[in-house]
Amino acid sequence: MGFPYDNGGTWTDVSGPIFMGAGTGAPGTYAVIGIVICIVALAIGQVAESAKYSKHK
Amino acid sequence: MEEQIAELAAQVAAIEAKGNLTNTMFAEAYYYLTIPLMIIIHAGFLAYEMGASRAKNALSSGVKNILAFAFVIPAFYFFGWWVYWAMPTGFSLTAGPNGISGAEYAGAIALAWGESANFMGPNTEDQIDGVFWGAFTLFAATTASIMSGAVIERIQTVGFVILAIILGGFSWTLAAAWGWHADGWMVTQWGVHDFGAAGLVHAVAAFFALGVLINLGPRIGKFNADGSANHIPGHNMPFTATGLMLIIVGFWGFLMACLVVGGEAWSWGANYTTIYGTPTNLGALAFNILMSIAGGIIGAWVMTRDPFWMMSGALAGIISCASGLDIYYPALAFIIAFSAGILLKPAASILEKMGIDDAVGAVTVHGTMGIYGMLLLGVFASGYPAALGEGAAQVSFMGQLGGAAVFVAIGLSTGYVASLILKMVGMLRVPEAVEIAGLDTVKVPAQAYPEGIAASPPASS
Repeated sequence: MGFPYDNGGTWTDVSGPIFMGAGTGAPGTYAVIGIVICIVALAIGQVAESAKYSKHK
Repeated sequence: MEEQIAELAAQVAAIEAKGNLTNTMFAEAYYYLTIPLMIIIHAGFLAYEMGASRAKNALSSGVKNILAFAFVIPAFYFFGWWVYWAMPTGFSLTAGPNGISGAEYAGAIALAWGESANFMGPNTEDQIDGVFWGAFTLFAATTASIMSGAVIERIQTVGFVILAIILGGFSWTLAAAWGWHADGWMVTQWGVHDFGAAGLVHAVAAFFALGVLINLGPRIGKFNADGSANHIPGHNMPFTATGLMLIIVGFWGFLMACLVVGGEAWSWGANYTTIYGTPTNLGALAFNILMSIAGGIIGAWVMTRDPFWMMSGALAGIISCASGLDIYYPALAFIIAFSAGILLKPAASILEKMGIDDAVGAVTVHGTMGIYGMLLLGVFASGYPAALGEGAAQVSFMGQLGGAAVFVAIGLSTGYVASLILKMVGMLRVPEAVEIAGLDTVKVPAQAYPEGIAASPPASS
């Protein structure tokens, strides 16, 4: 990923975004992965929950 | 002489720069501290709901509450924050009179990708967006917790989480965009004033819950064949009452976050203001929150003598005054809150007679009292400018009535439709056998009370 500032690798005079992936497409990629994680987690949870209920009908 | 003037000017500039930095850091710390304070609300809801559940459902109610908190946070990060900034003028997504709204503006500051990502992550030049987003996220999570208590002991977990995401990520956010944001059409056109979110948080969440309750139905055993209701006591009243007190503690952070700190580029002026830019300060909150808590407790005590309703009365007191905590006279806040405490139990009974099983009285405490408070503000604050600036719309009873109606409509419609869809796909209510056996034993891999709990003597008649 690398340091987002092309200044010789120093914090001196750094001003602005400092997160990993700043200025690249990485934040969007991370956001998509995060959304997918939420959806998949809910899907897995629903499958497990349904399985529990089916044993108690 | 010139050298001395130049030296003095440099010293003044340096002092000014340090003052500005201190102010910026204070503003950042101010909102940051509202976040843990508001998390206390969730600790309270957690205790409150687990205590209000029967022992066989205690942990399941807790799991549901924890998950709502966890899922609403990313939902608000990924799309809720954008809704707040994009939709103040309605679904047209155009910019409002202050120029801080609309799809273009929201796309520039509130999306987690593209150039906007610079405002959605660590940035040395932006000391406000993160803490502001954090405070709003906790508002969002609070709405989910309000809904959560009403539906305990029979709702499915994932179905509930989906409802929490819709409520926390969209429904209340839309209401906030319309009735809280300075460009909100209800503020600029109707003069809606809802400083402490009685309508746009409490009522929206409560009527969302009502929409869900209509589709969810009552707990088994709640109503008899002739329509009369049975009281289903929770397993731990001390836990419930303590939880309610924690919610009240947390609401100090919630209401603190409703102020805009002065002296910044994004502030309305040099001093504290409301989110509408109108003047107020922390002193106003200290006066009115304390007096409204007291009024609500005393009113509920007069009516019920029941610690559950007394602590609910404290909440109802705050909520009934929330719209005008910035401008009420404390004695008036006390009177309004007292009346809310008096009305609380009868209002809950009316809902119960309509066949609605609201397990913790959330619809009444947050919904009925939220609307009651909005309307009373329309009576007592009529003629006040609703926002900052020349030509701002004035607070009026009709404006507050219209605003309350819109908030009810947003909450009720989205809650009803979302829960109806979940019901149709079998994700809303647990099977009857599961409800009878208890949700914990079916789906929670932990035991609430491995050594049992002793029953206390019967209640006083």
